[in-house]
Amino acid sequence: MSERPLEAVAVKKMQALQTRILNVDDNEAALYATSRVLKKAGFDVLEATTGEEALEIVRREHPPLVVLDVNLPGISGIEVCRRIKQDPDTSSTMVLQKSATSTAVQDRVESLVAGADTFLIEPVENLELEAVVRALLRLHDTESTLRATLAERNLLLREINHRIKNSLQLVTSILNLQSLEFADPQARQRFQHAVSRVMAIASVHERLYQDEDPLTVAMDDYLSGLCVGLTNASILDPRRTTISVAVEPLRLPTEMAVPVALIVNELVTNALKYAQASDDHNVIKVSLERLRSGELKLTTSDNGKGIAPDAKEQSGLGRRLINTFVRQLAGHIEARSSADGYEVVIVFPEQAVTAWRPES
Amino acid sequence: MEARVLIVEDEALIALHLEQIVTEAGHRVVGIAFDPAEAETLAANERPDFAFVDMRLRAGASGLDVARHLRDTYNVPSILVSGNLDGRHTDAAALLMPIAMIGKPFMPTTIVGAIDLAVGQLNGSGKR
Repeated sequence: MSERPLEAVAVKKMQALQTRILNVDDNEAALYATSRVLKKAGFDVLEATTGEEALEIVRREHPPLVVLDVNLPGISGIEVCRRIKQDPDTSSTMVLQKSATSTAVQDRVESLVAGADTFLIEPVENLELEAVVRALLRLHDTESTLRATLAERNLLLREINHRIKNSLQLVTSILNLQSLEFADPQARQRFQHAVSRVMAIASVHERLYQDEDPLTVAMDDYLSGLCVGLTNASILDPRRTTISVAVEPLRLPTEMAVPVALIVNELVTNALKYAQASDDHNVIKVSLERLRSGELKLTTSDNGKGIAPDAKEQSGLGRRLINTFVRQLAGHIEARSSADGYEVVIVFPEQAVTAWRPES
Repeated sequence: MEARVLIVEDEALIALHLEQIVTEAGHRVVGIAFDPAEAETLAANERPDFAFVDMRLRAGASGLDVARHLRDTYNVPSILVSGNLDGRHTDAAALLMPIAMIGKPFMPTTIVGAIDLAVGQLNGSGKR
């Protein structure tokens, strides 16, 4: 082991830890005095004598703290502070504003409003200046740690979302591949129903996370996509079947959106099944609207004429699913059958939707 | 018209599923590539009409790079498939002028729609 003088090690350590501070003052003597205090306290000091110069150094060197005099030739210290804080690239810089002349309450307030983190009236005791500088640097450290943690969290969240979607894709792929194994067409169709239910749940994830709000779903997009998928998947002649989706631009939390989608999935699948058996031009309508009472109203209808109301009843699992989802939504369901067709209306309360705020 | 389709996807199940959809739609899969190198070999040997490309491949390989290479070197357009269709990704992908961008989990019918679009473009371009 080579022996190194302790002092050299200490100096080296200090350099590594030395924090850069930009000191801005047009008065040579004041500039020198402040720099001396900061250097003595162990900081690496950069200097500027004009606002323009200060801004250039902040953008280039990114010092964590600027000690900024108010009275400068050209752009004032307060304006320099405002620009530092407005530029997203430099806004995390701490600003210690100080002045010996612009010391009225109005000046101090204007400076703080412009974004300064503190305001000191000169003359300032050396010890106090050092203590305030260290306090601001502590805040800066905490803030950058938080920023880094947040960025890491966001990255993780995106990664998890990606994996959820990939896994759901694996599930739906395996089910679709499996459906080919059924020789019996009726068994295959039943299995396809299961696949379509899983798809209705999975496809919510394709729509989540695409915008700023990952906890709610835009229902117009979700239900339109779902209905298009169902129509394409059925073997109906598209010229004889029209499906129209009229959904108000509203967002529902995922725990409400999924049951609504599953109900639509059952009702539309059923309507398509009966439409297949008819020779008329089939019109299937799906709508979701907000009533004046604040409740939501989901309506599906078709013009399937000539089919006995009984035959329109959901049988077995489909009906049980619908009824249970309606209960889950705390709603009520009404089915009407007439010469014009068949209509199902479900009314349910809209939960207070807590909007997701990325900052919270 | 029977199109020749390359699949670049490192998840075996998803690749099989895509292959099934392509085959059922009446087209032919010329190969499944799990990584950029296999995609390159298949593109060179099989000269596909278009490709399905997963935007994120194993070991950090970028599907976007594969799609760009397929387009620039072999004139093979891509349908991009991704579990990450947020703004940043779609912006970068859109520059490649893909035939379509499809989010996971996809509906089989969405894939069929994209295939129709691709075949339409092929016919329009008079490539075949």
